[in-house]
Amino acid sequence: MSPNDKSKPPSTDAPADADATWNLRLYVAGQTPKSVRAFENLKRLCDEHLPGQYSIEVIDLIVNPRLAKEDQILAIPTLVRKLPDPIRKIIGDLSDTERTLVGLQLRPAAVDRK
Amino acid sequence: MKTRSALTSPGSPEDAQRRLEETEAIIRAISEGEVDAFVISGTDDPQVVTLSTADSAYRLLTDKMMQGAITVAPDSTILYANVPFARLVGVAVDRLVGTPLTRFVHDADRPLIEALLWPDGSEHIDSELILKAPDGDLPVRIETARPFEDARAVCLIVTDLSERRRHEALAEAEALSRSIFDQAVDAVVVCDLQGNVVRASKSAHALGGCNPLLKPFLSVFPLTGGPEPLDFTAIEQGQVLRNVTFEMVCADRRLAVAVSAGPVVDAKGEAVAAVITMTDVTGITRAAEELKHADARKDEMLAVVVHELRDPLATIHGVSQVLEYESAIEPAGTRVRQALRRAVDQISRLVEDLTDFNRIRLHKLSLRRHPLDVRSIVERAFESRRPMMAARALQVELVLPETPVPVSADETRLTQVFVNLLNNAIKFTPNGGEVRVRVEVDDPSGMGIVTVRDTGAGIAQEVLPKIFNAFEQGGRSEKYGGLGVGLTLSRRIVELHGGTIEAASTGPGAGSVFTVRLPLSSDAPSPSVGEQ
Repeated sequence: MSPNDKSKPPSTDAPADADATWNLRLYVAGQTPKSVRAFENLKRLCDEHLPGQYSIEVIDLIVNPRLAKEDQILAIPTLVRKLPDPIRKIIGDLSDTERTLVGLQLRPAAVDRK
Repeated sequence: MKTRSALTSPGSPEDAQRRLEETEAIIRAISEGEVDAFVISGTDDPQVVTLSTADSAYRLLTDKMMQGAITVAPDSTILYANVPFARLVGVAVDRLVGTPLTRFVHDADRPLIEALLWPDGSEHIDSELILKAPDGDLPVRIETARPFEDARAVCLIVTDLSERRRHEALAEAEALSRSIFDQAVDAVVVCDLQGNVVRASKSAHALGGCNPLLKPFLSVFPLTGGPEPLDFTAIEQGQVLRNVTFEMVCADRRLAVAVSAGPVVDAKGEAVAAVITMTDVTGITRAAEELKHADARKDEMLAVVVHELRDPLATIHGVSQVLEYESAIEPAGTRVRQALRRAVDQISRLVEDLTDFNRIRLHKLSLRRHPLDVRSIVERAFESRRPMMAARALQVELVLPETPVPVSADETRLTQVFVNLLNNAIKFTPNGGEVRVRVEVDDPSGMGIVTVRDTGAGIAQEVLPKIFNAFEQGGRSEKYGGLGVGLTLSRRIVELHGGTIEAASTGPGAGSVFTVRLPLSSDAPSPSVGEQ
């Protein structure tokens, strides 16, 4: 984990930091089922845990594959947390909410990952 | 790059750790089925590949579109077809794949298909051809698109033109009916069953003085005065009106409108709208009233004619009886002859009047004009009436200018005018009254003016405007006799000479003045004027 980790309270329903703006980027491949599901999951999760303090940028790599280079994307869908620092990647359709929250550091890892 | 700087620096142990974690995450996501596309970045330009089920959204879209869509190999084998295309050619989708497209094309159109599949450098081709469809030939438009640079398969978008042509035919029919609608002289309005205008012909726009569309019908066409108000509920229930006259005040005009109305029914026979036709009958109604009035006046005249004939006929009857007794002739001879003469004169005048009236009515009055001196005509007319005036002990005066008053006129007709005016003056002036006639020349207007002034019965103000109309005698015919065509005839004659005639009176009992103006002629009148 990055040394810049901020510890978050277990429940983040209340805005953690009024100034913190979450800048999220979702890489998709057109309307593939997993891409569509990833966006749905992300939207729901943000509305629940980051109301009013996030922005989601969707990048369709089928339209412009070169953009994959910037964040070194290999599998689609992939979510990249651009802000707050540090950059973090979560791969997959975000259907495991717990893992996604941990990945976004909205929730501390429960136990040691094996 | 800014983004890279945010990551751990390449090659560091942290970077290696991060890469390891990311690889683990990718493997986990793949094994759990959370990804369905990958970026392959072996070359300069990364490429995205998707799993086989990933294009289901596009398949769904193409299946839902209106047009047929197919992908065809260069040899015309169909590689993909959407449901609409399958429907167009009447073959199931799974049986279409692998079938040559040329199977659905007439031989004549094959070169066209080949051109589509092997275009000579052109990116986009658009052409129309006929497909073989289950219900016969089907006109279609085919557009091409090339999805792959290396493979030469072509995507074709197939549009059914028969539908569009049906729409064009419908639009044409609509335009035609619209044009017929607008040609209608009557105002035609279609209303919904709430009474709002949904369609209106050009004449309806003109009649309402505005665009009536979507407005309540009765607000644009306020029909009143009918046997009962226009009722849309009744029309919906099948009520039909035919040429019912209403009144309508529209844009400051008061109109008489003949209204027809009835329901518009759909195929099931249910009323869906009301159609209302309105004809402006203001002019016709007025003409009908005038005709009615003229007819009434004719009836009155007929009564007068009968009345006028009765007296002289009675005289003639009596005289003829007297003549049967020859012995009685000698002693009473003179009186009998005079009575007979008067009776015959009376009837002759009546016949003359009727003849003239008919001439006016049929516009058959014509003039034989010669150069004349108005003075001599007026003088002759005046002299011919002198015995009558003397018999009534009237004070008379005739004033003539010293120089001639030259006109181009029909002597007989013009004499008739002045005799008529004098007869009227004598007829309506009590014994001992005055009748003055004056002839003068008005140089500025170039008119000769004749005035006949009396101190007789005069004319009521309300009668003055109508006095020259046939059979109007200011309600005096009973008392004074005659048909009342004299003034009508006089006006007609004067007008045929290019002149005017007018009557003036300050009221009943105050006498009247008739003024005749005739345009002067440059031709010198011939010294002796005689009837032809």
